[in-house]
Formats: sequence, C-alpha cells, structure tokens
Amino acid sequence: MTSENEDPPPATGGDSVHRVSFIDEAIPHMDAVYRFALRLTGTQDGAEDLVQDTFFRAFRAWDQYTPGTRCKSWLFTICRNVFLRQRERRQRHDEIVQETAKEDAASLSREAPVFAASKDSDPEGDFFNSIVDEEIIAAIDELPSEYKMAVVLSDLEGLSYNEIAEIMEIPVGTVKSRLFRGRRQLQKRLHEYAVEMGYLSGTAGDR
Amino acid sequence: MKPFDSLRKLFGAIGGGENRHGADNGMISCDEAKTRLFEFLDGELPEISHAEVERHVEVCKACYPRFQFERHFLDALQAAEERGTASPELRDRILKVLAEEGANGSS
Ligand SMILES: [Zn+2]
Repeated sequence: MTSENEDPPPATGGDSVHRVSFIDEAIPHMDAVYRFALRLTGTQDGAEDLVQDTFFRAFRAWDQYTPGTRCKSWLFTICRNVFLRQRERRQRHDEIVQETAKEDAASLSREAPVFAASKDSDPEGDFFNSIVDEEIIAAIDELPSEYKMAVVLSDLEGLSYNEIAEIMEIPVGTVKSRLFRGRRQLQKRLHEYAVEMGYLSGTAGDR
Repeated sequence: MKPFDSLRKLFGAIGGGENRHGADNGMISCDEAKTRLFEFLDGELPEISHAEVERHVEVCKACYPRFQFERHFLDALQAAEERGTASPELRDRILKVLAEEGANGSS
C-alpha cells in the first residue's frame, strides 16, 4: 500500500457521494464475487441470492470499509460470512475438515503422488491442459468446503495467503496446508479423469 | 551482493541428478526447493528465497519437471474460471436497490 497523494478523507458528503464511491469501487468486483458465490453454493440461483445479500450488506457497511485496502478481499469476507450464516440457518452440515496440526505445508509439498504416477508418460503434467474447464470446475466443487474456499480464493481469484487468512479467519499456516491438500485432492481427481479419457496411459491402475 | 554469486552459478550448473549436497556448491538442496515449491509458484517467498529456488529449478534436472507439473496444474485451474460473470439482470437488480436505499437514507 503506497500513499501517494494523501487527500484528507472527504467529509461525509451525504448519501449520493456514499453511493457513487460504492458503485465505483465495489460494483466492479461483482463478477469475482459471483464466481466465488457460485463455487460456495453450487447453484446459479444460490449464487445470485448470495451476491445480492453480499452487496446489500456491503453497501450498508460501506463506511466501515477502509479506502485503499483491497475491496475485493473485503467483499469476499462478507460473502463468506453471509454464506456461513445462510448455511447455519439451513442446518446443513458440511463435512468437517480434519486437521492434523503437526503436518505442515512444507512437508506436504515435498510429496506428489500424482506427479509420481504420471511422470513416465507425461513428465511435465501437460495433461492438465487437455482437461475441459467444466471438468476442472466440477472437480473443485467436489472438494470439502474449507479446501474449496482456499483453492478458489488462491488459484481462481489470485488472492495472497494473507488475504485468504483474513477472509477465512485462520492462520496463514492453515491457509497453506488447506491449499496444498485441496490441490493434491484436485490433482488426484483430474488425474483419474485424464486416465479415463485416455489423455494418459493408465499407469494409475497399480494402486 | 554476495561475493560468490558467480562461483555458485558455475557450480550450480554442473548439478545433474538429485542434489543432496546443497551446501557444498551454494545451491539449496532438492528437498529445500520442493519444500518451498508452492510458495515459490504462488509468489509468496521473500526475494532472496525466491531467487534461490529459481536458480535451483533452472539447473536441476530432477526438480524441473516437478515444478513444471505443478505450474501446468495451477495454470489449468486459472484458465478454467475466467468466464463466470454475474448476469446483467442480477447487476441491474442490485443497482436498483442501491439507488433506492441511497435515496431513502438519511437526509
Ligand atoms: Zn533439485
């Protein structure tokens, strides 16, 4: 964050100024919030409701937003909170992610079972590029929700570990391990798919 | 600047297979490189650490395919999601409510 021209914050200039700045800063992120909501809810209707709630809530809380911080992150935080509350209300219990505290992200990234399984036929993982987008998204949707959230925020939306930690209210170390486990699980699924489709020779059958 | 940078480069480039004696030639070991793999690809490493991994991967035949593998995986994920957009109807609905809320607020 660089502060170049430090203009004093505008004196609360009434509702129209308030609305204009919201429209300028928050509304451009609607597509990103929508994609995030789509991954969380899994349906278009659910996503639209979630986006709508997110933006209304964000608008009402707009004076709590700190100018200069990343608006997209802030909106994702609200989106996640609204989603969790909705889910709680529906009493739908998602899988609970079991976390063994001792397994750190560093040790996780040392092993790569899918790489090991495919490195003879496709040493650099070119098969990932042959998989259609729909199949990749479907595989992401199958992840346990806490892994999915980390993967979506990082790998689809390009947020930093710190931003994800804030949004998910977890330490950065936990972001890393969820991210890495989610990625591994995803690779496994995509690898199975690639073998099924014949993009890779079926060397994975020996497990 | 580190005094032995050019020497390190020279010795580093000789390495062919798994590099287990990282400290000897100034290169980090394969294990160290793999440990930082995702943080490297995610752009989360401090500059010096990032450069160490980069230099290792450039010259290590054992690690290069592994890094490419993860890179291709992450690229495929990123490419998969580019099209999702909020419908114009949703956008209009939200903007309409904002306009009303703004107008009905305090004044
Ligand atoms: Zn190596």
